Amino acid sequence: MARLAVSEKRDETILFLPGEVGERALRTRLVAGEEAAYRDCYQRYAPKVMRLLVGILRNKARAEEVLQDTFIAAFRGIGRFRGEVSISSWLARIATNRAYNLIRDESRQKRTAPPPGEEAVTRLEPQVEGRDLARKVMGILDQMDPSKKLALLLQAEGYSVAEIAEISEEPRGTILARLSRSRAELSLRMSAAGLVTEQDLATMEGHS
Amino acid sequence: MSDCLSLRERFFAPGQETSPEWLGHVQDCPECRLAFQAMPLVDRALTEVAQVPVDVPSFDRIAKSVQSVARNQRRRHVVRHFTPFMATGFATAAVAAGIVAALWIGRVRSAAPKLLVPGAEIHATSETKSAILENGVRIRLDTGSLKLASASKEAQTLLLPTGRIFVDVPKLPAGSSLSVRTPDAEVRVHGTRFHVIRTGKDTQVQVVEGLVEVRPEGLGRPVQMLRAGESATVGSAESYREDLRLSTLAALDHGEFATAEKRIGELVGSSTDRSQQAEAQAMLAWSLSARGKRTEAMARYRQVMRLLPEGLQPLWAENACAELAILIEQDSPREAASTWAECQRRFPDGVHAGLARARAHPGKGL
Repeated sequence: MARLAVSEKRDETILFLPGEVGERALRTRLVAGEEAAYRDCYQRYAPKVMRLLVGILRNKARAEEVLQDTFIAAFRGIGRFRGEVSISSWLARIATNRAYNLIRDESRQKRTAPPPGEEAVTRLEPQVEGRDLARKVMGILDQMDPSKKLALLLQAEGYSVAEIAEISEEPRGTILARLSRSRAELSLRMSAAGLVTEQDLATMEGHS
Repeated sequence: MSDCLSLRERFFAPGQETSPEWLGHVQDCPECRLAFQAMPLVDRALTEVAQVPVDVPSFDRIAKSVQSVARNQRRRHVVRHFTPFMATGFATAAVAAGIVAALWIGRVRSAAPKLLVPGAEIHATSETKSAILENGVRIRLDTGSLKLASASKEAQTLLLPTGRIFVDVPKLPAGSSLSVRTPDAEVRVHGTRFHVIRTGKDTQVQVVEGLVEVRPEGLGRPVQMLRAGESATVGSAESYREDLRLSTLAALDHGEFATAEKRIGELVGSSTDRSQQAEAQAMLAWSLSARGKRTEAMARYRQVMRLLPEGLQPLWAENACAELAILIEQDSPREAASTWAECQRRFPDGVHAGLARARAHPGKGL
């Protein structure tokens, strides 16, 4: 079905089928060099990747720069992508590698990004500031170990443990343990920051 | 504290929070209780983080770069599409020129690779056939026929009864394999390019790139690993089995029973039909009998008679039947009579027919 759509309806808008079938169809179109497929891919995955990059870099301009680099690099390397992981995980892996490379380069050149902590929180994007809890949690995430922060950001974006393991290029067991530790740490840090009140706990206990 | 960390590692993962062990610990540890109680709020906070809207730069900002990437990709795609199907160096150029010329004058139909599904078969009679498997493996069948026998995600098997193929295997995921089976050998690969040629009497493997594992059919035959530029010829399974059979008989003749029994094991593993298996069992029974293991020998001889298809009357089988009857006779003449009768029934015109008739019906005389 997907193959037919590719060959016969090249110039029309192609329905993006959900799941593996749709992914395979999109990959086939990308490998074949179909320009519309590159646009479809960008429009489908860029918001998720962008949100992840903003979470890692905490700077919109740099996130946009890395986002564009990510997609150009991914498109250039589409021939090497065999579909062992989802396109979304593949893009996330390229994006996180590039983001951390950027952070590393900048810290090496003493042009450091805003240090984690309060400064980072104050330089959040306006949309983020509009959401108080999200803003404060992002501030707390900045204070955590980068690998824990990445695991939580990816979990928040809906990636499964297996996908996070693929993106981080680490064993699944390591990621599972890291996610557990990170969630516990975030929970305690939120409590210490006063984000969890007695009333919250009482309400939650009532629900449970 | 380390207990807390260990428990948190195990039970704070999504979906694991309701374990009785964890809930018990939470009752006694205030810090873990606090962390645990606040968990729904953590999940809510993470959900909010994921729902923060972001401005995504327009695709038009990278459209120009993408155009050139797409153009290059189309070029690469075309090259990749055809490259594996041409020989290297001058031969490649010559073949390519031939194909282009043939296409140009309309004598050769456009041969886009066909997707080969499990169970499908292709035949190359007058012209080369190309096919592709779902995982990107490319195949060119020069002569003969080819069938995709199975196609699980982990293992794919191509059957080549006769003919010549060229296979281009991309890097396969860990644990996956592709194999080409001929009647003589199994060629197992993990990402490479190679030729397999099945002639009437043997199978030849030539590796162009990567590493190939060649497993000849028949137990006891050594597995060969071939690197790029190397080749191997695997003799037919039938000739291997016949050599093995003759050397086993020779070992039995010389009274080398340990050697003989080792070879019989390989012979059993290389036997493809019931008759061959029956013969191997007969040799084993003979060896056991010679070593004085009567009970085991009788069991093997009985198995020979069960395995041997009705109607077949080779001399070794008739001998096996007579030997079984003689072994039984030493313990129970009455039971032996029925075995002799069985020998008479199955081998009525055999060399032991007279003896079988006399022993099966002792009252009637020879």
